Amino acid sequence: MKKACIFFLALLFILGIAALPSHAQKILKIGVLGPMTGPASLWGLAMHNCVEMWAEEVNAQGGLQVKTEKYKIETVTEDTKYDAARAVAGAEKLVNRDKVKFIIGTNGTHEALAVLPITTPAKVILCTFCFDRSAIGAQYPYSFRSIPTAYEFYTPMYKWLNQKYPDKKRLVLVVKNYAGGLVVRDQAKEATEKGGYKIVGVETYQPATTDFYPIMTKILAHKPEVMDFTAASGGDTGLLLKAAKQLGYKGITLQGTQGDPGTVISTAGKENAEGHYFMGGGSDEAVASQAMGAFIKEYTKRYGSWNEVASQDYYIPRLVGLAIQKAGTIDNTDAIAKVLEATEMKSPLVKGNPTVKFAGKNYYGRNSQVIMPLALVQVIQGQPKTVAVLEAKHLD
Amino acid sequence: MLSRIKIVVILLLLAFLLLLPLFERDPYILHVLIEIAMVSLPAMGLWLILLTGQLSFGQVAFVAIGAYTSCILVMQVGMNSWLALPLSGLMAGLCGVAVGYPALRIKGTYFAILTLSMGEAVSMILLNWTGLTGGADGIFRIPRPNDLTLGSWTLVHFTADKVAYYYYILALLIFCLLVMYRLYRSHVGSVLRAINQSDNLALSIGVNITRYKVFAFSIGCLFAGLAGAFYTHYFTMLHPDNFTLWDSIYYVVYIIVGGANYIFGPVLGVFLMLGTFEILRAVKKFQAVSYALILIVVILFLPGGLMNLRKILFPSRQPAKEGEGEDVGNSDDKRRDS
Amino acid sequence: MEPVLFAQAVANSIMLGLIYTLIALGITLIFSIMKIVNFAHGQIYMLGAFAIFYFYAQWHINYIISLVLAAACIAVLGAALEYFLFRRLRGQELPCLLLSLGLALLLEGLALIIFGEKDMGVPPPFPGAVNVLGVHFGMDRLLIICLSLILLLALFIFIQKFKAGRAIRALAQDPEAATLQGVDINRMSWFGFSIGCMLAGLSGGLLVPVYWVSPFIGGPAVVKAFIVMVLGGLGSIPGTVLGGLILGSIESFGQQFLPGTWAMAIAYILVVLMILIRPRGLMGKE
Repeated sequence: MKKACIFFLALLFILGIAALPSHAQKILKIGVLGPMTGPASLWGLAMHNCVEMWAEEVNAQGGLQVKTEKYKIETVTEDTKYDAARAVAGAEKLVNRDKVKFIIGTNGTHEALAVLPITTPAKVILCTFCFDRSAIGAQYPYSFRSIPTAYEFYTPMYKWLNQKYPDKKRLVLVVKNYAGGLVVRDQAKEATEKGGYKIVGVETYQPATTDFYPIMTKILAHKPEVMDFTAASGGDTGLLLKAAKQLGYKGITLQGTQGDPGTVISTAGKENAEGHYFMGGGSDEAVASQAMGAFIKEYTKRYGSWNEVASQDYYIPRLVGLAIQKAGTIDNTDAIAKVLEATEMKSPLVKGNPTVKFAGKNYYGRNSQVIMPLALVQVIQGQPKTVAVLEAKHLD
Repeated sequence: MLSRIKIVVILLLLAFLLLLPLFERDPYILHVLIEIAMVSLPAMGLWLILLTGQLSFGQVAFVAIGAYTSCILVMQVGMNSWLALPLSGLMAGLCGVAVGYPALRIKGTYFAILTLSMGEAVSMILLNWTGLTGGADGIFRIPRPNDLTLGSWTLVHFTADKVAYYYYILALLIFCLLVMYRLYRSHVGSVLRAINQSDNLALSIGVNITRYKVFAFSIGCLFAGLAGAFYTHYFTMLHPDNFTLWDSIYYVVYIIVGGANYIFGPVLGVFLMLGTFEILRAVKKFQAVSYALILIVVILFLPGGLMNLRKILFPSRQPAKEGEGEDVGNSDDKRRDS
Repeated sequence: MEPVLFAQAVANSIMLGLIYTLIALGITLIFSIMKIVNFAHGQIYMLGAFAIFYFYAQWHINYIISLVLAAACIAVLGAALEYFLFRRLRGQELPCLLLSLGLALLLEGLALIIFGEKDMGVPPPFPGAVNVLGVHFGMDRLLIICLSLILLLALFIFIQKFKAGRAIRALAQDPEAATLQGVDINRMSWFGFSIGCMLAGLSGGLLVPVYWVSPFIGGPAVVKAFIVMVLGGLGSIPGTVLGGLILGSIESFGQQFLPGTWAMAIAYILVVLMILIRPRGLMGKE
């Protein structure tokens, strides 16, 4: 009797899920897939919030104009918790239940590579944020990368650094032992040697490390002049800086990825963070336009606090919207993908309105890598200040 | 033996599950069901381990062992994935024996901490032994299971389409359930139940306790290994981060929620928790909190798990007879503390 | 290798060791008295850290006073948890363990909703570093060392000299005998659990200036606490110190000499061996 009850409950349950209503007309669904909770949520939430803000902007004008129709943008979000299995479940849901044709998301390489076998045969355009080279290659014709990787950033950065400090050549790479960390390490290796630096050590640390004295002691034994924290997270970077300075390091510190400068500075302490270089979004007054100020204000109002990552995530939903409009269709993703590769826009957020577009055919196989202005930021008197705006260059 | 009603219900359920892909084509639903079945296997293994009176918090390590074994056998040795499957299970089972012999002498909480640490040790080793596992890079583009052929006829071909996988995992699930049932009903099962009641009693009968415990333990690990092998060729990628302590902990949760006293307990627990989890997607931010609250409520108010719900809803019923509901007496209250 | 590097590694070991001891004190205490493994220990530690973040970094209350306030708040929380939740399952090892697990999930989920997902730092109350013969000590770490030692001493005196402390010790050694002697199990369990949580919260608060705070710092913290507890021994304060120092040394020297991140693997393997060979730990009492 009890078994029968359970059996019928199960039946109801399954049928219940299956019977969810389908969507109405004139709506354009955009999927968002990424870590919304958990330690990686810093990146997932920035991406989600940018898409949401764009959708609101567009809908406030009646919708996205494609040919003669206006489409209301509806975002559907799935939380991956930075886990590949959850990413797969989320992608399945977005592609097969919600029937989206565009997914902005996947932040980790493991997420992206797990999801691509689902999105590619379904011809769903995936705008990933992972750094893996193959994820946007010719074998995945519907996938694009929404942000520049360390690869795009390191070459101009090391060139600039070398010009400023020509006598400092000994470099140590500090690597966080996770997929994204290893990718950035490899990208850094390529760029540093080309930039004229000598790698005297590569030290790896475990993701759950809370105390960096031991590893910093080991790093300092190499007597470095430049310390590159590659893809270390904000909190880790802060602690690495603190350990370095407390153990007597007086050289240059930098990293080729974006993080949250607020976290870095507050965790390291103002004195310890002084002089640290990293990739920024260009949100300080030196390079930011008025529109950037307005964007920051709006973002802070809606979500409670500013997330520097958002200044880069700003562009991708807009680029996708432009491509849809230019292609004149909301579901012929073959056409849209082709158009997207050639789509570009002027950045309203940075002074001088530099161009944001897709490139990378020689290195990646397609023009699927977004190129945008990269701000080289340095901590000066406890504040992040843009010291240079670099052009993304490929090691073609 | 089972009552006639029970047999009918089970057959109906089986028919329903076998025919499901014919009318339910949504890959998302299939994926959820596959995930439920896949996660049930290590949970069922844990149920067998619980028969020894101990609770392991390192079960995920054996899933990982099965997963990486299958991956290596198929990708580096070039073995057929169907041969790799039992070998992966066997590997996990043998590791279970290796761990079980020394570990099962330890009681209660210490055993829990021991298995927890062992699981974490395996996790660290996987992360650092880059030659074997690729470390933090992970292993990608793992081949799907080989086609099942009869002569030149291809019976089953595995693609991104979920249906073939569905039947594969269903077969594994049924197989393991049968093993659980036979084991429980067998001589081994009776001995284990006796041990559970009292070690001294079993000793006085002259039973080599350890051998029986290790046997049950290693079969439990074998189930986990099978799940791991399935996992590898389903997700076609492997990363040490996919096998964490939380997974081990969740297997325990599923058994408790479903009811540690019943053979179907683990499956039910997984079905309810994962199903609830998927439904709770709608709640987004509050998903984790809701999940935790459900767990706490179950632990505080439903100590026998959800399969004991009828005892609470229909308190006037006669106490369960031997065999009815397959009450295996795994209840926590009866278990001896350290 | 250079003697200075070796000395630094030793110094690191001691600093790390005392930090881990601090974190593990609370969980050891609760396990000794109530035989409960409190998986939520890490999350309570995290709440203590957030308490300091708000009292000290946001509301600019004096650091020491913030610590006292945080300790008080967490102690109250601990008392409430024991009274409303754990008491119902008293004596049942497994359900208590699972309850603490559920609690851990709940607290982390709530913290994420309330505090947000970002890692946040706290300005150090005593900035700078000291250099002694080439070996460096951060001032904030020296502060931790001093405060930990004071705390350890206070705890030790409490357990030895004060009636409540002795009652707790009696409960830990033999609950039945203790009851016969007139120890009120209810009140003492409640009190002991509360103190254990307070220690967890206090350690979180002390460590915030050295590390950072986010809803996720609980997980790694409780795992380290376990290792210390198992290695050093249950029910023994000197044992906890020893366990902490061992773990600190493994991490410090392990990072120094081993490639990659094998240090933690070794720590876990040691735990496994310890439980197999000597379950009560190096200095534990049975």
